[in-house]
Amino acid sequence: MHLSTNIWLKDEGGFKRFFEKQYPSLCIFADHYLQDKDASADIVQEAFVYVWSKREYISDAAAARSYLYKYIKNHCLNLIRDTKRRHEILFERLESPEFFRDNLIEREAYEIIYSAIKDLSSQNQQVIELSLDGLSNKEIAEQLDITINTVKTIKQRSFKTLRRVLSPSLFTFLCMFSEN
Amino acid sequence: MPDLEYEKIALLIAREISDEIDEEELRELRAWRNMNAANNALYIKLKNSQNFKSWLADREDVNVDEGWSAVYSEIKKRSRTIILRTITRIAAILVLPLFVGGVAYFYFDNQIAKKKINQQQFAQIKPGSSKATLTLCDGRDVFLDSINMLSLTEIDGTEIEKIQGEISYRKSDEQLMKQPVYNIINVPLGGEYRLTLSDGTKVYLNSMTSLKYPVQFGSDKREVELVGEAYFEVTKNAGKPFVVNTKEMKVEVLGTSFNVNAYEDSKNTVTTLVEGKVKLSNTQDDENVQILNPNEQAVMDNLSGKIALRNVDVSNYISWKDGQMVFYDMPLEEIMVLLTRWYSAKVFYMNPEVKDLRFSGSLDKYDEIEKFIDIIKATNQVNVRVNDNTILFAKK
Repeated sequence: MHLSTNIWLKDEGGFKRFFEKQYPSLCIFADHYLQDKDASADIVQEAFVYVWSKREYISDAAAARSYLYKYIKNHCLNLIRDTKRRHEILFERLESPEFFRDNLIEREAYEIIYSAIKDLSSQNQQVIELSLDGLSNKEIAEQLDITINTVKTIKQRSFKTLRRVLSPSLFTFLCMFSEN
Repeated sequence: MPDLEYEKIALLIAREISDEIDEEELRELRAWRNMNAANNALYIKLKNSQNFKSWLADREDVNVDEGWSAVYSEIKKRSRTIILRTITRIAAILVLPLFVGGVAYFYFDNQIAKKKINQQQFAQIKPGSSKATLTLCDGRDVFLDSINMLSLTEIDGTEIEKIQGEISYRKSDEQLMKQPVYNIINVPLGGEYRLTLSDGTKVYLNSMTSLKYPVQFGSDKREVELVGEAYFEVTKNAGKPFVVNTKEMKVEVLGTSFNVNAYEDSKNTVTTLVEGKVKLSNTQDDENVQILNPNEQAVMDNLSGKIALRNVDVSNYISWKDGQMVFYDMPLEEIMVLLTRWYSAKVFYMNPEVKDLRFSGSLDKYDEIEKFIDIIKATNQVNVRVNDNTILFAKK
């Protein structure tokens, strides 16, 4: 755990892969502030240039994500402030830590689900979507006219690769969480 | 609340829909939802496939290639200016024995062309970063990095805050426990960390260093135990002397700034005083007391226990805490001991005699080791080669 996997920091290929994975949903993250897709893309791009320029001080990808979030939040808020497009009450909400939090949790949660379903067929994707709506395996099976076991298999298969990817970081933050 | 906790919640939600969630996590998620209305509202918003689908559609709409080419052209533009800046900086900082002005120009000119090839060689050797492990009183270990925020409470109620590469202890007025509660911070190879003790004393910890200290100090003395190297800025308190115990030496002060270097694999224990006054003694022999004045350094031979005093330029010995490594007329072997505590590299000497070659210079700790290697090469005293994470030295 101590040996951070910061290969992406040193070589452009690694950084490109990191970019490709993080960029799309960060654009949505920024757009929740700005409601302007082009301006959002610009700020997210600047954030990556910033992280690249500071790569010597960034230990790993998790740290880089943290930098990205903060950079994007601050620059989105600055932009709204500067362009005087702001509506006081709305701006107060955007500026609140709760808004940042909700935005961040949405991105993190949906990004995990996205990586689980992106390679599935559309019927299999439906299983996950219905599950998101809170339906039990039995209800999902009935609605899609498949067996409960099929539902279970689809869920297992879609999150399988994810489990492997997630477990080390999960371990880190489970450790830290339990200290609180 | 730290980002970490946000990520945890995101993960629990994802685990819930994949049936991966276990009893305890489910309880945790419920507790989080019930904490306040905002949490629950967010949960309901996220657990909705319509919301997810619209997020997914937005994600598909993003043009990744366009984004990357914008970022890529910008970082290309910048790296060109950075290479130029680095060259001027190296030329400015380093004064090396056999370095002749005229040669330098051609050498660096030549280096730019070689740079691309070299980069791959050095990919395995990384500079260090802020990291450490904190061992709490009950034996639990907490991993500390440079980014996430964290707050903990020790069993006696002492609050511990971590922000970036630093942890700090808050002073509590009431003495809750009869026995002092100890924490230990361990900084690994390639790490560094900063610490503020409950009395406000600041400690900079170097790589491969461990410090044991009470989370609240008792009423008569402030005592800590050190292995490795640390720089102390002690908060003044005439009634409560501050004592650093190392294996071989005891350093006692009232309020002052000083550096203690007490690595177990080193022959000497070295204390360098920046300001104030410190009292030193051998742990075996309390009678043998020495007083150190500013700009003086005490070098104790760990074997004989003898302490020798000398005047030094203190900045050479404390600059590590500000991100520099400075060595003055130092044998190559000692330089490499310093460097390999920070960079994850191994060293091999093809010919033992090169270990005694002496060099002077300084380098930025956060720079790639490549720069150091370039400079050693430029002295023309020794052959250097890098193989994976091993640096090989051979005579010319």
